[in-house]
Amino acid sequence: MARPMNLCQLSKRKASTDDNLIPLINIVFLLLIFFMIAGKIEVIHDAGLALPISAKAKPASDQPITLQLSKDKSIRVNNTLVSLEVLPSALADLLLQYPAKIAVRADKQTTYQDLDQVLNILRAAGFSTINLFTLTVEPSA
Amino acid sequence: MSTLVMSNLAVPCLILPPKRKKSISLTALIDVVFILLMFFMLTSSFTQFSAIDMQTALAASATSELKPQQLHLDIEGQLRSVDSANTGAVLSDDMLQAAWDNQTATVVLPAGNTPVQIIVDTLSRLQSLGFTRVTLAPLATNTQALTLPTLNTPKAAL
Repeated sequence: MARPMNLCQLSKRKASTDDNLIPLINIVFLLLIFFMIAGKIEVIHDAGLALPISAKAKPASDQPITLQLSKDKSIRVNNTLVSLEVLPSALADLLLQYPAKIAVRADKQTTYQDLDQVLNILRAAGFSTINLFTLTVEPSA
Repeated sequence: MSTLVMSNLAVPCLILPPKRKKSISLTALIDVVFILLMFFMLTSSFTQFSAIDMQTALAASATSELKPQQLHLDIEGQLRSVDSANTGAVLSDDMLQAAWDNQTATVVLPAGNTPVQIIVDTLSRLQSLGFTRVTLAPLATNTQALTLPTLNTPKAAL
């Protein structure tokens, strides 16, 4: 027959449960601090894109305007799907708000012909700096 | 005095100091910490991006009197000379270093169907060989034939 637990025993049991949680919370805190410091929260631009791989390019800095060019020739400007015909006007609108710098994220299988069309439009729109984004891979020793 | 008296009673643990602080339950704390952990795990990105700067001709200030060197890039990633004596020869790194001036403006003419990955690899290769003034320009035609192309205005410089 179970004896009724008095308040003292209940309090002691609760305290011992909390004590068991301390190693767990230590680990969770360590993980939390790791992800807070080492991770970088950023907008995902590359859904469905496989960027070209490069080992020797300089670290990229985000630009206010991002153009994504996928291998099926679809173009997205700041995550908005635009056609090649509408692209100049879409860029002109953005140039009114932002400086003339653009990040181009082209799929690695995109052909130069398609990239060149886009670069022509960017040049005609008046962009002074075009950053072609690549994925950094450390060279194997 | 009263505490002393009470401590001798049968249920001493019921007698607590009157203003003892109630500690936060660790279970509630770890709930919040887990939520934060999940948030940072799902939103953090460890991918490192690089960028190849391409100055458009409008912004490029450097001009040169010298005729630029032209290199044809095929879809296999091989560089071939266009305007030298041995037109069409595949250029190795040694040949590029020996016979080509890496300070002179160099125009790379990729074939139309060259993938971007090949272009990036080639630009990195030329950069590692010390070529500082590399320009991309399209071939006049989209064929891989090694005809001497009409050199368009250089559009993008590395």
